[in-house]
Amino acid sequence: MSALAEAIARSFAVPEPARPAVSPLRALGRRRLGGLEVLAQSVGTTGCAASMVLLPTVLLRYGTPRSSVLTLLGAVLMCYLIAVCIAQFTRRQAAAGGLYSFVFQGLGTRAALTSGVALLVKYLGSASATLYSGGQALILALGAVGVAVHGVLGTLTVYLAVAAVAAAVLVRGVRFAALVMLAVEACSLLFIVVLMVLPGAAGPPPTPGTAPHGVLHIALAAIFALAGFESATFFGAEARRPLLSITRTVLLTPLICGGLFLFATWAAWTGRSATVLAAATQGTASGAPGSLVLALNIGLACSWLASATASSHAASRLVYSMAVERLLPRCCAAVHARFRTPHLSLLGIVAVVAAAGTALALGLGPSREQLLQVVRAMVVTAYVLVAVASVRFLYRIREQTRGVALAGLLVGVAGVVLLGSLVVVQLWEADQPVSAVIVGLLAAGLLWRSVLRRRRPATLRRVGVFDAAEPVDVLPGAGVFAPDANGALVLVGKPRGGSTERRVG
Amino acid sequence: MAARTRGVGREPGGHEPKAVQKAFLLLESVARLGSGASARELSRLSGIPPATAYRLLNLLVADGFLVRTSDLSGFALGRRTRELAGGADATEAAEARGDFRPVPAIVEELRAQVRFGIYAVSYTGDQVRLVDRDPDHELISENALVTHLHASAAGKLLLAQRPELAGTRPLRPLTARTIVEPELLAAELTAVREAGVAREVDETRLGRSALAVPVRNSRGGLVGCLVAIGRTGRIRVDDGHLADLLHRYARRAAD
Repeated sequence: MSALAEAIARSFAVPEPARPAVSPLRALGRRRLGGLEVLAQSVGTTGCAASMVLLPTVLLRYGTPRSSVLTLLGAVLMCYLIAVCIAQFTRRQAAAGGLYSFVFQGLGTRAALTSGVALLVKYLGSASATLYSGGQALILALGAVGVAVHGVLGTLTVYLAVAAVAAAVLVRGVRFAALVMLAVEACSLLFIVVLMVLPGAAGPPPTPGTAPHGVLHIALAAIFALAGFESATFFGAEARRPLLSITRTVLLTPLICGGLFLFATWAAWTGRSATVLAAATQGTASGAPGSLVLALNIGLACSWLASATASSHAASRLVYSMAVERLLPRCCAAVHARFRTPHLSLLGIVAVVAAAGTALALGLGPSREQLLQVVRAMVVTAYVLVAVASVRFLYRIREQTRGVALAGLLVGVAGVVLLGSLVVVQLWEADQPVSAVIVGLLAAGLLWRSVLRRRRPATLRRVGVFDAAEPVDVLPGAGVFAPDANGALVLVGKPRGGSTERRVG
Repeated sequence: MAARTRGVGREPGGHEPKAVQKAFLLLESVARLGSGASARELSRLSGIPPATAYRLLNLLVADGFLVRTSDLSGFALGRRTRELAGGADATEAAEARGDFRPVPAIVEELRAQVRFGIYAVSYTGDQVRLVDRDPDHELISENALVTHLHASAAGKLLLAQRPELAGTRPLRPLTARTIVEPELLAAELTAVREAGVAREVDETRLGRSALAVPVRNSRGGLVGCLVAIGRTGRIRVDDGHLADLLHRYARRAAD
């Protein structure tokens, strides 16, 4: 232990640096989220309680008991492999940009900006779609208790009220928001699970579906129901032990949600949840009792609105991260003095999501299905990029292992096949506008980079900020801090062969 | 290490599980190779198989015993390694943290020269502890002085050297003038490091001000401080003469 003991003894005699290096993400409320709260963010984003009701309707339409269970297991495995790739980054760095920051570490700015655009569209799109669905369920529930919501004005009031509550919760503080989402998501899960096992709600076992391309439809539905499990990665700077808690969350969430989906599949095929599923699609017209429909709508509204809130939450940290890198206006990097949340980007994002969700509810613009198709393509793009990036990253820092390379390869191939089939199916079904939007969004990141490279090349050097080590983290005298390309002090490796840099804390 | 057979939970004759020994081996390797050593180099030097070494290195980083360099490819010792020095082995590091006992006659001589209360503080065990109280000046709410490092002059002097002791919880305002903003505190600590003295004005208690100067051992390590405490307005904490006087006695008090 000689060298270690020497380094420790020496550290007490080394003075602290006069100008300490500061993490670029210092302004956020650091080290506030515990493990459970980080998990709540990820599970909340997936909106798994609502998926437990919606996914079985797809299974019953397209599959048999055996094929649906096997396909579901395959989808969970696929998401777990993606999680393994993401975990390579979450074990090594804490960032506020999530997958966007990770893709940069492996593949550089071009892929990072492509994934940044994809993630922004994904989270804003998911939030808008779930806000729309949650609002509809809320309106139904309100109607059942005698508060009828009519016309444009009524719809607007409901959506604006929901958005205002979401904005207030998110700005109030990262921990408060996570706890609220945890409570809401737990309530909705309780509602849905109890409704599914409730005695008396059971019906006869359903007959297997016969619609074509069954396996593909089930696999896609399951993967996109699990998507969002990575949203905890946007809270690296704010989690208490980020390298452990976020890694654990990313790996656990697909398994937890997969388990819940398996339970829902069992309930669907045994006929236990027949009444609930019928009530979800047809309301009281299915013959289900009014109280059950009301409870179901409350459960669904909770799950969807928690998901919309969690998605907006994640998007705000992505925008914050890009603003710190000066890719977006500086005002987006403003942090509330007391609550330590990026309040301006949060308010902007909730406003966009509220506008899009209300537009969907009023039937303006594209349909929810078209929006979801774009979102799905963006999800697959981001996952493929992060899988490839994880392999490249490990090779760059020379910590590659065979398992991760294999996982990255599998996800990469499967993702490319999925993305290709999505676009082909849409062209087949003659939804050309959606395909054009997808291609346009994929090109947007590349275009953005080439514009930046010509106009503001210095900005590209800032991409990839993460919660870097500060002198407070380093044993005094055991690390070398030197200015990086942007002039910020960062911890660097010992320069091989003669040092002119000063040794500081 | 690599040649040892698997399936044995403990090393022969040792009581530590294998993983802990490997973790120590990795820390030792980082100390030997210096800042920026890569995981592959550390695996080779320690003889631990790469996959195990990478896993342990990630755990050591997660717990703050190691840190990654800004390009994520290298490692340096983390501040938490200091906690390892507090063990049973009386290492050189533990000796450096030895208790500070001021020479009583020198403190008395200083007290005779000023109209304020003079107190000696020891930083043993990373705590502010009054080891010599001024018998002629009553000290009210002594607890606030020693528990709230961000508010008191003696605490700030310790924080300037050991910023990690500020913890992660929000800083508590003892008075309206207590510094509770992390950025402002960081600036204050930078000022303390530059000036070599720490001040407080109405920050632990309204109407109380103090000036603290560090006491260092022969190796230059911070072991304690001398603090002058008086009524706000009467004790001028920006007084260069008072700081010089305290500095002079602080050097002598350490002997």
